[in-house]
Amino acid sequence: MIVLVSLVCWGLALSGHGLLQPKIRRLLQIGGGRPVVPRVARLVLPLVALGVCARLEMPLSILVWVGTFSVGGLLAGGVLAVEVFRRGRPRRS
Amino acid sequence: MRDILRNRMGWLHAWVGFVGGLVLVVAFTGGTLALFDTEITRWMEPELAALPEAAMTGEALDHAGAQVWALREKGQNVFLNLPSARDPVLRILHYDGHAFVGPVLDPRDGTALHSRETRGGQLFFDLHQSLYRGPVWGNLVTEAAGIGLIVAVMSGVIIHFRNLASDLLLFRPFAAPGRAWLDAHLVAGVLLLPFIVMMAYTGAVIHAPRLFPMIGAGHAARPAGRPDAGMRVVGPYAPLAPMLAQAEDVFGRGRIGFVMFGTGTVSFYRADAADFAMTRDHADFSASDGRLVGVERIGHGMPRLGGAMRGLHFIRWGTPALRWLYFVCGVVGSMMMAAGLVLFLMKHRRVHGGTFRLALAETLALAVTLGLPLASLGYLWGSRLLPPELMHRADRETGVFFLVWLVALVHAGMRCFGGAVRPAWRDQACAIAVLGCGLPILDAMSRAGTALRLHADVYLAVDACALGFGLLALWGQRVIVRAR
Amino acid sequence: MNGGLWKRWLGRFGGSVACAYVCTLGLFSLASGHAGGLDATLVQSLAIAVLPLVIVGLCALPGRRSGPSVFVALAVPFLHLS
Repeated sequence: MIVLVSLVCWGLALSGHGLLQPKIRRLLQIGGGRPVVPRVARLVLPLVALGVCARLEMPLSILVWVGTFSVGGLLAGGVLAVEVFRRGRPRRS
Repeated sequence: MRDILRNRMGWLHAWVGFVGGLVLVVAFTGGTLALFDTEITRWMEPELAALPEAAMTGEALDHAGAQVWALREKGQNVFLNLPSARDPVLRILHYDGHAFVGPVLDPRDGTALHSRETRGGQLFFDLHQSLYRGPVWGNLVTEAAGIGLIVAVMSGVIIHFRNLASDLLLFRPFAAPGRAWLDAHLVAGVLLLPFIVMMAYTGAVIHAPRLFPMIGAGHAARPAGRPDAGMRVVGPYAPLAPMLAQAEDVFGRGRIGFVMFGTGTVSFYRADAADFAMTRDHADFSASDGRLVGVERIGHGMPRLGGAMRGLHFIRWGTPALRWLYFVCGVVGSMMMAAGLVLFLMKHRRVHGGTFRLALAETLALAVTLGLPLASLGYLWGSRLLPPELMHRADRETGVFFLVWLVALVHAGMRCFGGAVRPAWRDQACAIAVLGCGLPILDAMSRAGTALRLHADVYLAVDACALGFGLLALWGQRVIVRAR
Repeated sequence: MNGGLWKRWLGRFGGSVACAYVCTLGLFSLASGHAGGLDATLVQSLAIAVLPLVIVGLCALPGRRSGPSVFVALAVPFLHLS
């Protein structure tokens, strides 16, 4: 359960990070502005994940936190890629 | 091209990455599978599926101990592996130069269980740590490749440093092929950076004595022979069960992993799964009267450093969830390295297309990227198709693995030297799809009559993974066909 | 790619690996001599950390004259010190 929560936190945090990147915003056809939610998410959710993982014993907690960063990031990257495709702008760069 | 930092690092990353990558894909894939070596071994022993779950009894332990002493009196260097959550049977094991193998005993009474001879998942462990080439040259090559991986990671980070954070999730699978492969390589590489660096570093430290034999007291690799062959011990021997109880008082209940038998002593070793630091703490008993004669514990601080490195790398202490996290990271890491090989080939195909060197590079890259998974699936198929009573069965099974890999290499060579690179990739992806998707059916057919049940166990996990990789390969070969 | 440049970088890489190995050994022979014998695993883990850093660092050095001979010249003092 802790692994799952950490994975979701990292996935959302990294999705927020991705949504703030100009290249991804262009691909997703998102306009300008300074969205607050993704900013807060990428700052707060990793700490939430760390807090949740801290309930495990060391060094399991650190390994789970770092491992879920990697897997959560892969999931977030996959979701963003699918979203780019779904919005019908497969770029050939 | 100018002689600037970015280009120098690009050259270093490309060439160290490609040459080292041919070894690293094998080591990484082998290591990923070796995370579940015990479970793969159990999958390859379908006779044990019918065994009901039961705790080990004192009677079973004493019976097993008597069998071990009898074997040792014949000069065989064997030890006793105790049941655990991952492997609920007793095993009398010896090292055959590549794996720990031996008879399986019932944990209820210590009688021998009918089980086929196999090296199981330990083949992948040997492949991971020494490419099946023994503890000297094999270790040295993987050690050098591990250092090469760290060099490739560092040079890659320098090249990509400016876009490290901004392109962290930029993956465009529907862009031009070169861009899509590069995105995949970068996204996976950066996201897995902590995992890859940690694994490369701890792995390199574990085998550091191969690279720096003049520092320290040498390498801990086990010799393949029978070092105790000259030793003769004569009974009577004290029963093991009371000794186990005493050892558990010292290290904790359920924390004893295996029992070694020396000249006049019996040593109960703490299990690798008992603690993060993989130390070989043990309690020694007199073999004749069962008296505790000493306890050896690795102290805190610097002496535990080696154990901590091993603990981080092997995670035998880890929970199933952590092992699955490592597994996913290992699979994606192998794919990331394979994507790097493909990128290297795509770049050089433009200039060196049609040359012998490029065809050789294409052949080797294909043989390690798809040939190895194909051989691994072939090994699992061989395990179920070879007759259980075959002579030298473990060697034959291993032979199937290398034969399939050799066939994949020859096929890759024939296709790539014939200029049909894309069909070569498609053929091998198709073969993986067939073997992967067919494995659950094979399991159901060859395990029928023992204990065919559909619930979360090692059989379902191995079948599901094989099916998953089979479907992935099926999708991959369709992508290759469409990209024509 | 320019063949001359490729050969130069290959030579530089080979020199870097040899120099890094010798430097690492020299450094730790020196350190263990002064510190009265360090723990072998600690020394090995530090050596494994230092080795790739030195290889990448030497390959990153600017200049055409940073050939293998320069690296060997750099390594010699370490051997003498040890």
